Amino acid sequence: MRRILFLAWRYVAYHRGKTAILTAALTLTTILPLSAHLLIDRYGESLIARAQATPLVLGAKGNRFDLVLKALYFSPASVDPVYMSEVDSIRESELGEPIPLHLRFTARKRPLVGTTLEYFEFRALSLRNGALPTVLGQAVLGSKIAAELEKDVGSSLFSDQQTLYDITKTYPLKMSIVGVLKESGTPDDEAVFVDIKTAWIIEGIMHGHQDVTTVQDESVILGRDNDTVVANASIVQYHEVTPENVDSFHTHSASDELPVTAIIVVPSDLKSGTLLKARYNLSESQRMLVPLEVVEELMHLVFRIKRFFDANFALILVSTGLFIALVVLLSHRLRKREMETMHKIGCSRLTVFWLQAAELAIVLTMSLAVSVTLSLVVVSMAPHIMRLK
Amino acid sequence: MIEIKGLDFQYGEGDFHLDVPELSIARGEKVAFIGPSGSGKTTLIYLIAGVLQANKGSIRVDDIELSELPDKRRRVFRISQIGFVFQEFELIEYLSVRDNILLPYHLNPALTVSPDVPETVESLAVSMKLADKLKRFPKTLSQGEKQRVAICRALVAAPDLLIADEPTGNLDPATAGSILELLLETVELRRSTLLMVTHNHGLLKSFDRVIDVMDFASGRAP
Repeated sequence: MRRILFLAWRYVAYHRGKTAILTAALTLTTILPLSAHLLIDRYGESLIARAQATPLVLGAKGNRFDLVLKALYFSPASVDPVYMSEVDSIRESELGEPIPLHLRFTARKRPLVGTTLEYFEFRALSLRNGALPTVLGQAVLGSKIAAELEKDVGSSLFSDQQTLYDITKTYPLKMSIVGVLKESGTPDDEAVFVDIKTAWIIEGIMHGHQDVTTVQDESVILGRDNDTVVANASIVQYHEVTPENVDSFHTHSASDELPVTAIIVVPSDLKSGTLLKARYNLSESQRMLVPLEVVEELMHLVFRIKRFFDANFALILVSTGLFIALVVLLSHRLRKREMETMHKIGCSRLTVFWLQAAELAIVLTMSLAVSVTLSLVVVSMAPHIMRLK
Repeated sequence: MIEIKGLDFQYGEGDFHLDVPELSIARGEKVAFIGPSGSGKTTLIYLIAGVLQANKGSIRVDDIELSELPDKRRRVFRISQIGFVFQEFELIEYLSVRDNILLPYHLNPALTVSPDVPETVESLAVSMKLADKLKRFPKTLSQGEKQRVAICRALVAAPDLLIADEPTGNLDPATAGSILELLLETVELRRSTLLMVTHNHGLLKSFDRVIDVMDFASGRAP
């Protein structure tokens, strides 16, 4: 066999051009389905794992896929809010532990997650250095984003401007970075975490400004009575929370007006989970979802589409196989004299067959190696490519 | 060395018929086969080499009855006992000169590459004036050089019998003369038997015996 492999290798090495064309043809045929297979395998596993770790998600009625993808993977989908009063209600019912998530904003195009300290415990996220965000305006970075933005404890980060031309929107908030999380291999690595109240500051629901009761410049005061002071828009609004102004931040909204994108609910037991699902699934405006069921449904859809692509791939593979067979046949014809010479010298016809089979095997192996390598590169670059989009 | 008795051969249903009642060739003899195109010269030497099988009769080479050998053993016999030189050189384009010379060793595991084989290749290359061309590929060689490589390939396994099928047919007269001289010298030196098909009657004086194949054939070989 070593002799045959030697001759086959000499043949493919000598005919580099022909070998490169065949290898490229086979690689191009296999790389897309192989990459898709690896991507679906890899992302399917991580999607399922995160869904399995999240018992229930409460959110507004609408597209269930959007809600679960938003709550679990911080996807950019737009989801109607539910309100903080639901968090209080679940907590009071003692049926489960609610963890609110407010996911409307971004910082340097990365998802900004407004939540409570329970989230870090729930996801078993630990700090690489620094502390968790306990004060308004503080932020903690996921490991990947910290590396990509080259930020660490002590530096600062602005939330993204919502719109350039709408002056009624709030300005970006300057947040101080107080901690960086350890790598977890989940979407948490690529998010910025703040306290939920900080997210409401970015939304404009909470704000801090000059104390109107002690303001010296009377031109900013529109009116005053015993209980209320009305100031105009020239009053100084704070866009950074500092130890000096932190106490001035407040909201004029009640808890049933404070929006959250979704609420992760960890039920106290199986029965509590069933009761919570029953309670919310009767609601006209909210729904309680089991993420695993939604993700499995999503994966089922993905696999159905993949089956179509697999069938398409099989046809392309057959046509490529026929093309290769034609090339081998033509090559065999062109090399008939060479084969005859080998036979006359003392080589068996079977050896001649194995020689051509070995040449084909080398080309197949090379194209498979190139395909696998390129597919792995595609898979490793997939998060980056997807973010650029 | 070679004993042929009652040999009868026909290609399928064609009209060509080769009938050799008796033919003996002694060890070390240099025999030329002549005859017009299609007379069966090549057919006869391929029968002697065991590439073709006779319909009837006996061919003994060194007391081995070829017609009784199974295909595998005939191939082993061929690769170890017979060296071939072809008219079109038939070098393998993707192998270097060195690997072309070593081709019999690459093709059949019956030949094992002993430590003295590379030395044999070197000395053959020196004797054929190819020492500086061992790493080159056939397409970079002249016609004469190609045929010298083919002769080295035929001799590398030190065969007792050398079969040459019009080895000078594609060469100019000067090169043809020098190649033949080289071939005869080598055969003489190694005391091998040489069977050579040729159309060139000017070369015949160098042979011990000349056989006209027309004496054995009827019809026309393909």
